[in-house]
Amino acid sequence: MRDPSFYIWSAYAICVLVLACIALRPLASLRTAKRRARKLQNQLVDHA
Amino acid sequence: MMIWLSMQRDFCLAIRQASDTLMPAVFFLLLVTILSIGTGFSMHENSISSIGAVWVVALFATVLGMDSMFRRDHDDGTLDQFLLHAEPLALCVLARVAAFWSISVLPVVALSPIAAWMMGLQSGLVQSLLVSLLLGTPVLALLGAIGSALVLEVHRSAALLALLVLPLFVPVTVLGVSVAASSVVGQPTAPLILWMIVLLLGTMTLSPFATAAALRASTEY
Amino acid sequence: MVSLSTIFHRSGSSRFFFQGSVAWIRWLYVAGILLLVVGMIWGLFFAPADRLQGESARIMFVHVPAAHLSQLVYLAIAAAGVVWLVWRMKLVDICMTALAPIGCALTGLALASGAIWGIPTWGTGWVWDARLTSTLVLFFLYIGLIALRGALAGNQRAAMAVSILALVGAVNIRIIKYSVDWFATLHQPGSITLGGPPAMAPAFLWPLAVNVLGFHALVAGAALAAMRAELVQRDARTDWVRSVLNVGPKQAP
Repeated sequence: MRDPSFYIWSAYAICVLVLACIALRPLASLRTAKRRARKLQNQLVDHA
Repeated sequence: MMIWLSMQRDFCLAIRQASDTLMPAVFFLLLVTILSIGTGFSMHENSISSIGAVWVVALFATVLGMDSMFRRDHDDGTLDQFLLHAEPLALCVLARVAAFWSISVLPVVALSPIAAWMMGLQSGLVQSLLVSLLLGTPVLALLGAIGSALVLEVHRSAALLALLVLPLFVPVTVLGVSVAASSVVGQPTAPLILWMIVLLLGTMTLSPFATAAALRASTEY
Repeated sequence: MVSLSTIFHRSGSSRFFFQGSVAWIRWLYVAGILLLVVGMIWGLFFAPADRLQGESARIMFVHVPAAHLSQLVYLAIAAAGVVWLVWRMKLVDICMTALAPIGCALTGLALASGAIWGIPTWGTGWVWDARLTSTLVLFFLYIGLIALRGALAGNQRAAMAVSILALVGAVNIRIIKYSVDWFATLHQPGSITLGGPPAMAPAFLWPLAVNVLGFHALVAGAALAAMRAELVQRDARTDWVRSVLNVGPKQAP
């Protein structure tokens, strides 16, 4: 059997990476959505 | 009554546009040729892989025509008549799929013994290949109907349609290839054929309703 | 005292969901990260090595939760599809939209960690085994859901199409599992099967349970956060977003 530590570490690293993406992506898109909504609402106010 | 009229119309259109109708069959033979060249003419050495090749090629030839299953009816307004008609939409869908299958898939199935022969399949095995294709391709057409109804309003939908329906084709492909493959090994094929009939009947019962719902989703909103 | 029906109707309100979910997301993220840190360190350094597979069995502690969640998330999407087809609740559609990319990432993670696990133990990263094949098909189903949502204009139409596709896929994935299992046993007897952990020793079970819980919490938190983002994006022009974001002229109290 080969030395498995390389495989173990790479599996854990990929897992942490994917989980970080899963957790952070919604937060980033919420920030973007809020900024866009603010901009849009300000435009609507200016228009009115 | 209207079901027969609709099928009659489909057949009539298919005869008038013969070049379109023959396309899947030509495409099928072309794919067989390319596949034989691509595998270095080694297909005939293994019966099971040549059966698998015929199956996959027939599957692709079916997918080719699938995109237009409801498109023409949608463009010329026939689909709106179906939606408004007193007949259940699912029944109209079933008629359309039956017409599609016999116009653009049946020629492919009819050519499959020739393709199998070209790939060096022993003649005793052609029968089970034919049975598996006859039972399997209607399932492909019925599942494809759901997909093509879902992408009806999508511009340039062929790639998306393939992405949606190919995963759905896995079980029937597995069963179809196993029917033919177990006759290669000399195992009884009857139980697998019965399972294919079960799959066909189940798909025939459920898929028209899903297709009808998808058609309503595409047209009503 | 708020009655049950009030809670039910409120939970369908965008504004109520937007404001109420903040605390949930915070706690789910905190719990998820804590559990995952504990579970991963436990799995990496403190759990014993497996008798048969040696050290590489430690990959199980990240692979099994990912594979489990990838199926659970698809089930949730299909259930949401049924609910949407029956009641046409807007938040349910937003939930489907939010869950699809998360499930897709989890399925990819399950496939990747499984392949990495397979190389030292089986000698190969990929086998056409029933579980592997159905997970791969699940991955394509997720991509199909995301692509269909992206291709269709109009939220109502996209929601209906995605619900139908999710339902058809949920039926299909069960049949795939049986059919491929059957095919594999017909042609490759004695191939490696990823059987569920039968009577696992507690030394393995505890870190695994901690990690599974951590995955659940983090995925639930991420799904809620993604729902909030989607909600603001869709309702950007509405009054409730204006009052929640504190922009424009304040209304007289």
